[in-house]
Amino acid sequence: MSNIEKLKEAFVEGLEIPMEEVEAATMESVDKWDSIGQMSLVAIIEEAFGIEFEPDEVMQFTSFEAGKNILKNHDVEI
Amino acid sequence: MLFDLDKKPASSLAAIDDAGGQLTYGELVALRGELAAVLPEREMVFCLCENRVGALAGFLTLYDCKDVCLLLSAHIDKTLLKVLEETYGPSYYWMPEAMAGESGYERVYDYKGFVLCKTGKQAPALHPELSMLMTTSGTTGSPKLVRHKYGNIESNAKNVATVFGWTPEERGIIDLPMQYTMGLNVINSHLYVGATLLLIEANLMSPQYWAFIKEQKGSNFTGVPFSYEILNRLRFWKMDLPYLTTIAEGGGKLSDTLFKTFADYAVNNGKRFFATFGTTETSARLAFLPPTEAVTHIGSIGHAIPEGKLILVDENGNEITEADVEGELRYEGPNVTMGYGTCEEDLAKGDEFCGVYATGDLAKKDADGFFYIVGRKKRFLKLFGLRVSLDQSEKIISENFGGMECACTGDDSQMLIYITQEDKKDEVKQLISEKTGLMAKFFEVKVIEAIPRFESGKINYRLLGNR
Repeated sequence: MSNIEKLKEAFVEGLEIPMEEVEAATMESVDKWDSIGQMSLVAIIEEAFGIEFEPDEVMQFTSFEAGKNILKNHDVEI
Repeated sequence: MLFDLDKKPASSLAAIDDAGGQLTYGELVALRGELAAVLPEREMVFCLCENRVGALAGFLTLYDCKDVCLLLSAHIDKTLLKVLEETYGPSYYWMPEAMAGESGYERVYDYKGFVLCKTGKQAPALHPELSMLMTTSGTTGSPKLVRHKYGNIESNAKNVATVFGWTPEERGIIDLPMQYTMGLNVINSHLYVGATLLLIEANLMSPQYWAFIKEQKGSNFTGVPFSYEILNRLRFWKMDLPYLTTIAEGGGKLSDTLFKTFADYAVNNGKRFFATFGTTETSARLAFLPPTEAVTHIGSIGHAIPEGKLILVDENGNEITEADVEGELRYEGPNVTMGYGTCEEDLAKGDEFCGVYATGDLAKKDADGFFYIVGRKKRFLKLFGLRVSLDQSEKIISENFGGMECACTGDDSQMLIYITQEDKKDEVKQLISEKTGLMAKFFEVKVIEAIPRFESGKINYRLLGNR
C-alpha cells in the first residue's frame, strides 16, 4: 500500500467516512471530525507511519491536505 | 450577595472571554440591582449557556435575585429543549442575542450579548429551598434534573477554594461548559476568592485556545478525562506554559497511565496536579487528592473535601472500616443536593437526600485513608468521559424499532448492545451513534437468540456478561 493510500485508510477508519469523501475532508465539512474524531485520527496516523505529531501539528491538522503536509514534515513520502 | 461578590474590588475583573468580553465585580453588583428591578423573585429561568461573560453574569445575578435557573447549553438539541420546556414550563429565558431574536419571546433586558426574555407562562410552584437546577451530564437526552438547594454551590465554592488554596491572583481557565457541574464549580471557587476567570469556547485542540491562555496568563487548568486524553495527544509537556501552576482533573476516572504521566509532569515541572472527584448530585467536588500524594497514590480520588464525610458501605448499609474492602461510596456534606426532578410537580418537593448521597460507585480505601473508585453499581457508562445511560439507550433503541427487545451493557471503552434481530444490526449501531453523538466504534451490536431474563421479567445482565 502506498503512503497516500495508508493516509486515506486512516481517514476512513478514524472518521468513519467513505473513501470517496476523504480527499475533500476538512474539520468543517465532516460531522465526526470533532475533538474525538481528531484524537482517533491522529492516533491511527501516528501508529500507521510510526511518527509522533508535534503540538502545533495536532492543532493545525484540520484537513486532509494539512495531513499530507504534516507527513512531509516527518519525511514521509507522499 | 452570593460569594460576597459585592465585597470584592469593584474594578477587578471577574471574567474575560475568548470573544473579547469582559466583566468586572462592580458590573455584577450593578446588574443584580438592574435585574431585581425588572424581574420578580421565584421565576423559573432557562439559562442557555455559552462560556461568555454575558451568560455568566446572567446566571450569577439571577441566582442572587432568588430566581431558579436551569442551566443548559445554548447548543442544546432542539427536540430536547422542547421536551424540557413542555416538562418544566419556564417563565423566562436568559439566552444569546441570536436565539432571542428567533424565539419570538418578549425581550425584557439586554446584557453583553445575552437577553432576558419573558415566555408569558406562569412559573411552576418552586420549593422555597430550591436554588437552581442542572441536568445530569448525560448524552442520551433524559429530561431528569438535579434539584439544588441554597447553600449547595456556596459551600462547595468555599470548600474547593480552600482545598486549592486559591487567591485573588488566580487566572482560572474554564473551557469546561459552565452548565456542567464541574465547570460551574471551577467558576464558583474562583469567584469566591475574587479571582479572574478565562472563559473559553475555543476547542482545546485549536491554536486559538493556547494563544488565549498564554496571552491571558492562565494559571489553573481543570479537565475531564477526555481533556487529558487530548493533552496527552498534544504532547502538552512540550509546551512552554510558565504561568500555569495547577492542573486539576475531575468528572471521571483517568486511566492509571495518564494519571501517572500528569502526576510526574507536575512534580518535574514545579506544578501541582490535583485529582478530584465529584457528581452533579453533590454540586460537583466531594473529594480530592493532595498534589503531594499523587505520585504515590496513582488512580486515587483522595479523601473528602472540608465539611464533608466520605465512607464506604456494604450491601446491608453498614460502614466498612477495614482497608482494601470494596463497598459503595457514600458522601455526607453541605453540598449534597435535594434530589431529582422529572416533572413540574417535583420542583415543589423538599429535600429528599437530606445531606447524604450514595454515589453508586464501588470504591475501596487504602491503609493511608485514600479512596479509589473500582467500579459502578449504577447502569451507565462513561464513553470518552460522557455519561451514557444504559437504560435510556435501551429505551431509545426499543422505541425506534417498534418495541424491539434489546439489552445494553459494556464498560467505559465500549457499549455492548444485544439484540435478537440480525437484520437490524447496522441500523441499531447507526441510531445509537447518532443519538449520543459518539463515534460508531464505541458501540458493538451483538445478535443473540433471546435476551436472558429473570422470572420477574427483568434482564439478567450477569448472563450477558458471561457470553
